[in-house]
Amino acid sequence: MKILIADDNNVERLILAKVLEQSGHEVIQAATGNQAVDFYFQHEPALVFLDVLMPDLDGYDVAYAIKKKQDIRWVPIIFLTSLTDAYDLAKCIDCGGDDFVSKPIDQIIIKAKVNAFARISHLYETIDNQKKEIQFHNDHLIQEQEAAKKIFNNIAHRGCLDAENINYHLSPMSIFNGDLMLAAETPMGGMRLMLADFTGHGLPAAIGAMPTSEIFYGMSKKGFSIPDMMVEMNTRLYSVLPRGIFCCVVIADIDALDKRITIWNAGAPQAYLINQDSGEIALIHSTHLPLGVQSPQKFKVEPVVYPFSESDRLLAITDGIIESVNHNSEMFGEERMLDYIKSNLKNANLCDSLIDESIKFTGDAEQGDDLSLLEVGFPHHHLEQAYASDSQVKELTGTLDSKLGLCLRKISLRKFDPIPLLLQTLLECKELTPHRSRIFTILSELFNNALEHGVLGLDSATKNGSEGFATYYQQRIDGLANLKEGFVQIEIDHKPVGDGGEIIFDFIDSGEGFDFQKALAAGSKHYSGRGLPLLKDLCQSIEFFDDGRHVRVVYQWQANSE
Amino acid sequence: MSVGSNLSADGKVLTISINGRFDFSAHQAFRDSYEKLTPTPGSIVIDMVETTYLDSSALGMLLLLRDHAGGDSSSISLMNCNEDIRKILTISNFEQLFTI
Repeated sequence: MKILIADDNNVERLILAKVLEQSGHEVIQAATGNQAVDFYFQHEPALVFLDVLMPDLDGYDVAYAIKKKQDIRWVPIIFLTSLTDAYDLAKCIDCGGDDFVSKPIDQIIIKAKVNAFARISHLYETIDNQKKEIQFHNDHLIQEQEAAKKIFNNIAHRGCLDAENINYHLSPMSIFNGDLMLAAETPMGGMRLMLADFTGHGLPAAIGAMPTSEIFYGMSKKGFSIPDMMVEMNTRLYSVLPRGIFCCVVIADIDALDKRITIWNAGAPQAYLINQDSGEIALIHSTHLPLGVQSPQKFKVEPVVYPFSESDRLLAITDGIIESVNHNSEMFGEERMLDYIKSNLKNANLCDSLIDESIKFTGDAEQGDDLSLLEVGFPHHHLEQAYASDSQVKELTGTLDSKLGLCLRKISLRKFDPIPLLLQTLLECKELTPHRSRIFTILSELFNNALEHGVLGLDSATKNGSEGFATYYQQRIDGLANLKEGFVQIEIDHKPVGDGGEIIFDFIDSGEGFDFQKALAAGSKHYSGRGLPLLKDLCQSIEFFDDGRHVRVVYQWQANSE
Repeated sequence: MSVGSNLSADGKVLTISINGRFDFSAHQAFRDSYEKLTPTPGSIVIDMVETTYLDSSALGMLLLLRDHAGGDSSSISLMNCNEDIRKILTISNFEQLFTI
């Protein structure tokens, strides 16, 4: 050990130096106080002996100068003193000294003290090294998280979350809190939104987000329904997540044409459907186990449908805000949440003001980092924009010259949504990519008409008002479950015409037909009902045969000239 | 927080009681309460009479226990849940997996 001795008495200093050198220590000697301070910083000793009384700078001042500038290194200071007054001895410790020994020195005591301080120094050094190591690992972890965050942000990107009908709050590091928010425009011209909360924190929570968002964006683009997509997500998460990690989710589809919202809550806190005009608030409760818990065989998705228009908005939250706690250990709670919404119905940005409200409640701005809120209003219908995007393909390809036939009977009608399949097959003709939205809309309008009004004989007039909406969709579920017989036959004939092509859609159903002349004559502003005005708008022609059981529409398209 | 466990005389029913907040800090103690028992008791009772609160990591621990006890063929009941706990279990629809 390197030891500094400061003493103006040469004899005493030499004796002490000898004793310490005999024990194998390296000794530096200073004859004055100022020299002691200089040597201390020059030689960086591990232990200092200081005489209290020195002519220039006394021991107290030397100790003070050393301790004042001391870095993270801990260097014990032991005073050498012939003083015996308790006050003087206490002052040695007060000014930064760690111990004192009386002069004349006793060899045995000196050696024992040096050993004791060597032990303490060693302990300090160990702690210091550990601290450095922890700091290193922490820096490393933060660096890794930053890199991981960039990767996650590319995969679990935010889609169309920045659309003007959406307000949201999500901390930048939310992925490591397990919170995930996704939004996509659907081919039908509406919007699909998802707020997901994985249990746990850190990397395990973040990893589950990757397949989830891949499935979300992949399947939404292809026009898969919420149930089909959630089955896929649950199956994947069930197989990849360890037991004990799962995903609570609220998912919603907004249909901008039919002005309705289809919504499902699995394990998340209740979501709010707020009508700003009437003040009605519908609570969307969790009706299922979270994703990744139930085996695929038992997994069942039954979303609910509500009307949704310009005066409606959806508010979905994770448990962060409900469970935020104030100084009296009270939780924010659902009651406070609902009261706040009720008294701020017309607030243009409920999301931000709820965050402010919760920060006011907890008195702690940092808690805000754990909160995720999603507020969605009515989206602008965007079919036209989708149509305008251009295709890069020059050569006519794929299913341009083909005929496709599919007949769905009782059991398939119950369980199978043919639209993604038909859409994907048609889109094998790459020039059709910019027409995706329109073709999806045509397919789904035709199929839903054939199924709901044809096979099931439902009356769209039932859909008036929110009660009616629920009734209508319940009738649809019951009708399918009790279906004795029935079919929908689909034929799609695609031929090249000029620079583009012509698609003839034939949909034939087993229903009782309808008065198509009257329906065609009805006002074009009504998008509900059979969506005939919309079809008329999108297609070159629309014809009915067999008392309305058979509909034929023709869609013509031009390849993009650019 | 503390976790206590008690095996019935015939070894068939294991009762685990959780005192205080049931959260991640209970992780090791909770696992220890059932993992070392062979054979796994046919029936497990979680007594929450002294449990004040339960968070999502506790739900995860319950799922781990369920898996350990045989998944769908397990018999686990959650007893004496207070209103807050009951609410959390209901939101997650855990009544489909456990007897509450």
